[in-house]
Amino acid sequence: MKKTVFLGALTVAGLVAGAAAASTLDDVKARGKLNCGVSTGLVGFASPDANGRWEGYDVAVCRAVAAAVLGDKDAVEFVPLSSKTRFTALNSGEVDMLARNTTWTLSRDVDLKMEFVGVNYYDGQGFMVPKSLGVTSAKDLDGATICVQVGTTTELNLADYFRANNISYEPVPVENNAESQQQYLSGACDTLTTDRSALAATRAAFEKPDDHVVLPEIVSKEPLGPLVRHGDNAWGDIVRWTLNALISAEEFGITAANADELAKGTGNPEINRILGTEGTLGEMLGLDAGWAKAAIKASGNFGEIFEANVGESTPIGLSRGLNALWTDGGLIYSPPFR
Amino acid sequence: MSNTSTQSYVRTEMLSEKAPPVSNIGIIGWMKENLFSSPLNALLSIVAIALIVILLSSTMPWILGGVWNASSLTECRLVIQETVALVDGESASRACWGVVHERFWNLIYGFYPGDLYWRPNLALVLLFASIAPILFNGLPKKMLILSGAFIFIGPWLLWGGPVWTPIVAFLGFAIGFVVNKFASKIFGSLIGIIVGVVVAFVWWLFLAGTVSQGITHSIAAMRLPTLVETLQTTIRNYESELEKLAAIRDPIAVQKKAIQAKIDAAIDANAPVEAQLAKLRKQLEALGKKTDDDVDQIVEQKKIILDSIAALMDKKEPVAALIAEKMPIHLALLDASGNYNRMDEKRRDSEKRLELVLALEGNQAKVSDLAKSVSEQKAALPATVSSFGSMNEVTDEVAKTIPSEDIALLKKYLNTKDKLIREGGVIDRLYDDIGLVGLEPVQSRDFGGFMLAILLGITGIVLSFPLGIVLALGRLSDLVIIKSISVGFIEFIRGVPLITLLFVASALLNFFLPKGTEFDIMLRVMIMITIFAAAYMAEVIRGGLAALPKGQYEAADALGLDYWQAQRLIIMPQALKISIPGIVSTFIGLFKDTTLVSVIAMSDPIQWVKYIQSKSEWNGVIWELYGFVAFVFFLFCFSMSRYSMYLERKLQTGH
Amino acid sequence: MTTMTDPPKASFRLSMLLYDTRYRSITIQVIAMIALMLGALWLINNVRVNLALAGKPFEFGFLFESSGYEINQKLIEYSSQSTHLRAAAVGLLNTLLVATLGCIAATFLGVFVGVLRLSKNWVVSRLAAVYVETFRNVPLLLWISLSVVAYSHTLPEPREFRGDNPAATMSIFDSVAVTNRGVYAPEALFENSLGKASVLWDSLNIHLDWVAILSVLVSGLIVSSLIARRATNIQNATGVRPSTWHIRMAVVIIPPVIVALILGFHLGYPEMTRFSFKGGMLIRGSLIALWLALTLYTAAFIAEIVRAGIMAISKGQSEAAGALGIRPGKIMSLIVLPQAMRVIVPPLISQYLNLTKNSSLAVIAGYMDITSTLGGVTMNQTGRELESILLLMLCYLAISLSISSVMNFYNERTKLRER
Repeated sequence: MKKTVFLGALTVAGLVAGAAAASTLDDVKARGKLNCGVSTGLVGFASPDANGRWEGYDVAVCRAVAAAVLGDKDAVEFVPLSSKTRFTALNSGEVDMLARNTTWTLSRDVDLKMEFVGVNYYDGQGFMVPKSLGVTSAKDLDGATICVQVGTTTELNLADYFRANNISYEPVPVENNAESQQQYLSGACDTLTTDRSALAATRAAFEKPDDHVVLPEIVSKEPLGPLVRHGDNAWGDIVRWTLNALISAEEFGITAANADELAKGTGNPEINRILGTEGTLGEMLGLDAGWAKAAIKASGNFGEIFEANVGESTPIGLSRGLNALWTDGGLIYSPPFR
Repeated sequence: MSNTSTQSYVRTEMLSEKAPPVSNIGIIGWMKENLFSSPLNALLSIVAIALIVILLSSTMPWILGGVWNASSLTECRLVIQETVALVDGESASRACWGVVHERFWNLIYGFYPGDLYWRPNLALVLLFASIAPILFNGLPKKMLILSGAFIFIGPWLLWGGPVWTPIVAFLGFAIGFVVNKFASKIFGSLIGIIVGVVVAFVWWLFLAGTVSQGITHSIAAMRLPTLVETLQTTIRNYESELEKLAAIRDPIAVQKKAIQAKIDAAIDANAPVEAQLAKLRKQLEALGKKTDDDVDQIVEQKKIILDSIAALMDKKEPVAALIAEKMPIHLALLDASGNYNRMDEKRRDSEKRLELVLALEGNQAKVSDLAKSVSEQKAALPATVSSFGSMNEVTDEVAKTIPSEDIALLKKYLNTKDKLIREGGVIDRLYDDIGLVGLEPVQSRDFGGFMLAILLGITGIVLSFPLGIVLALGRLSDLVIIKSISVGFIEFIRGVPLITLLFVASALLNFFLPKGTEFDIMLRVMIMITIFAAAYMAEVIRGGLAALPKGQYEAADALGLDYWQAQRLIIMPQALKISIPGIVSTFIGLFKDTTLVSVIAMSDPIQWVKYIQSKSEWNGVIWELYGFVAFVFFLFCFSMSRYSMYLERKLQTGH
Repeated sequence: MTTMTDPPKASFRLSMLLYDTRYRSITIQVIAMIALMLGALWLINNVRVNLALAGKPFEFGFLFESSGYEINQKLIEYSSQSTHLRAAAVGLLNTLLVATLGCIAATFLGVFVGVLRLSKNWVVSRLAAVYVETFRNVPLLLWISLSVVAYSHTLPEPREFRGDNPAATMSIFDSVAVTNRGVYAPEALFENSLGKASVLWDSLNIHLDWVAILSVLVSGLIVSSLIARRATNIQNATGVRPSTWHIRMAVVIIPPVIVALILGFHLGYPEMTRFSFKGGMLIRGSLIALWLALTLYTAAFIAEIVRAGIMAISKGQSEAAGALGIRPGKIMSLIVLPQAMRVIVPPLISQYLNLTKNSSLAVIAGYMDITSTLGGVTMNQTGRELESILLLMLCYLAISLSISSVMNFYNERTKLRER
């Protein structure tokens, strides 16, 4: 609501006594900006460039939602959040949604009162070791020193995995990705564990990437996805279906470039429904008919976003793997638009 | 006396002074005196000099030989490999200052818009101008007005917004002062002060915003008739500007692409040579590990390998020069595309505004309809649900006791209210935007880098100053309850680390305030930092008060001054003067402590280091960034501590 | 004076609460008290309402749930199956450990540098000044970051100790390995161990071997002091002090050695295994790096305090000492420092306080202190911000208050008693 920040935070005025709306959608529309929580810098997923513009895979999701709701992919206020502050920020209403590679777990969903709306990246926890160590399996890591980021599910999975296999390890807690990379390279730990996407990004930045291998074991499921506050289902639906629209767009071949063209009408009714030329799906969500088109045009469909930020043409060079469409043998799947 | 001169020899003139022994003068003498006066001293000197030599010789080549022109870590490595690949057979490491070169402005200003840097700069200059009359006695007292004005102008410069915001904020003081004058005449001074303060706060908290927004909205209403035309012209202007900016940007992009292609080609051409080089380096390494063989033979082999390395190095296509050539183009492109993006954003904002203005009439009608139905529905709410403000309050248990129709009515009412808020908010925002006379608003979130550190440090000190005085007086007061509250507060704050207070700011402060109060994180952190600094400030001022001779208090009493008069006229001016060095060192401490805000993800220099490291171009750069940040902090803090020492000397009354 | 009558005992009027200085102070205090209580009530009520809305009751039950995370540096038994409370206790002990180590080291270094700064040797005093200014004027957070990087990059990796011709070797008779993961040193082992005893409802395991050795050592010390007292008595009676040092030494040293031998004392050396050293005692790199940063940073402040303290002693004192023929080194330790202590100790203790509070940045070094266990992982995993932060603040407050009470005690004792 507020415009002037100076004193503005304390002043409330105007037509509507300045009350915040209970519904997030109304709040976002009144504000004219989407507050989106992102990571405090993770290669390929969220980081600001030299002009202060945020870029990355998670950032693209925020932009798509902003485009769907407000019709402007740049109407986003990016709020960097550490793993410590992310849930409180979402709960207190500081951000409207969180696109900060957060693992979907039962306790977060239920106990921490979050609502995960989908999965935009199927990740799994892996290990990276120097080739010279001659380790080929995570089970060989008995007695190894392991760098692990504090306060993440990774830390808990690690404890579980080693306990289940009855082997021991020595954890070296690190605060963030940059630090774990530095500790690992200096040899302060034998192996580095985190999500495999982050491992790939880290390895890509090494001076000699070929001296390091990522072990084949995937010790945990890490479904990463955007989340919203518990209790506002209408808003949750919007974020969920924006994500689904991006996925469906890839499935039906709608891209940022041809969305306008296809929106003139096609023979495929599902494409028409997504792009708002048929049916009233947008209205049901409380959005314009062209919401999905705007979301797709923001930074492209799911596949385009993947390729542009973390895909094989980028320095990170992740292959689609599990994150390929279900039609290509992956897990990415959208319920029908009907 | 002349007759005695023949009897004994008397010197008529003094001997000329002899030069002191060579060992006592000049460099040698100085060294003997200062470095080698005793065996222990000599040993210490030698150890110290050795330490200095080791430190400098290991760091200086790295720092001074660093690469300034490179736009990614990989390029840095290429340049280093080519220029200083081998020193004495070891691969040399050099700093990659390219990261500082590229990201310098980010580290200083964070996300603050590039075309508005003049605002924080001007604010800083004004700050110095406004503290000058407090620190230097020679300046005219009238300049204090400037200091007072800065309290309002400074924040306005930084955050922007309507020009009347600072004026309205200042009115709070004026109103409080006037009310105080009247009230003290009627009720006495103490009540007068209290009433004045309360009225001022009522103004700031409840009225100032309305008044400010009222002015904005009336200007907006005045502008409305011609607005469509104005906006259309603005958009046209922006479009032509954009074309110009694109005309600047695109050739640079082409240039960059061309040089990048050259670099890539050179790297490709070098690939086979690189492979050979890698092999040779490995051989060299293996040789280095051998110790059992004939030493001469190893040296011989090493020499051969080094020679062939040198020969191969000559064969390589020069990449370093190309990379250096690319850097200015890269920076210019960044600059140009930044300008273009900002202009583009302005254009889009204007377009959105135009759209809204065109739809304004309909929207306003919608809002008044909504407002009507909200009030109708509210009146129609059954008594069972009328006390609820949101659906959250209707828990399952509560819902059991209420008929479901009533809940449905409540839901409907709340939904309509939300719609009203949304539509009203859109119109409000539009009015705020088009009625703006002043500076472009900047969000707190965009503050970053050293600017944020300085801002937090200065606001912390300035705001904690009055609070610190009150706490110090409270602690020294005879009133038991006041004293124990002050002591409790001071000891509590000083007993916990700042980081826990920042956790409170980021995670808990919202719990302590009524639901729906929105404080942005910057304000929350400022509150906590102020409270933190106030406790330390109180101790510094208490020290100043304790250092005053008791005679001053007694003299004030003897003159018949009451407590506040004595404090204001006699005690505080002296006590504060004594405390200035302490205040400066508290400030230095606070300034350094602002780095902790990176723990709660605010964009201070340390956080920017992490941001930069999270770009794939700079992933892996550590020492350079931390080193640069440390260096800048050192510059600030060192000069301030020197200044504080100077003050200490100046303020010494010499008894 | 005798003509003066008692002030009129006017009946109490309400306005006297404001205008009569006798009552005014009470009025103000009562108003302040009421305002404070109202404010507190308001805050508490807000918390109550907000917590209810967020569906989080205020309770500490989560502390007794299993934590699920490992902590590498621990002084008491702990595993991922232990409770959050135990994790907090491990963290608290770690905080106390690094704070104690830091205070000791910073004091030595600080005094050393402070004395060097006053040295007449130009290079040395300049070097000390550069050290002090560099460390005082750069934020501690940066020093910790740099210290961690420096530690892990300058020392050899464990794998460099491997092989026939290793790049790094163990020091001190092949018993201590200094690596970038920490220092591996021999540990004391007992062949005929007495085992461990659990005390305090199984929350603490105590090595009985050490208890045995320590109790023998303590009783030896007591006997030794008894012998010393007897010697003093003899000296007082006869004027001749019997030579007892060898007996006292024997009493102190021999019994523990015998007990240790009976228990089968031997040293367990660290050995290279597949990944790293195993066995022996490990002082972790995170502790060392954090300790180093805290020490270097605080020592710079202590050096300034020491310098100011020494300079506060008037030159006449050292000149007088010089005139008495005391040697320069002795002047410092016998005349100047004892007097300077009175000036030095209060700010010194407040530096100890600062160091302890600054140790809350441990998470940057990857050291699991109480801020990173209770205020970090536990808070993050359970989502109990209010409870965790409250407990965290209470812990620090308790430490701080105990340190300041020590300071007050010292101040009271060393106050200059003017006669």
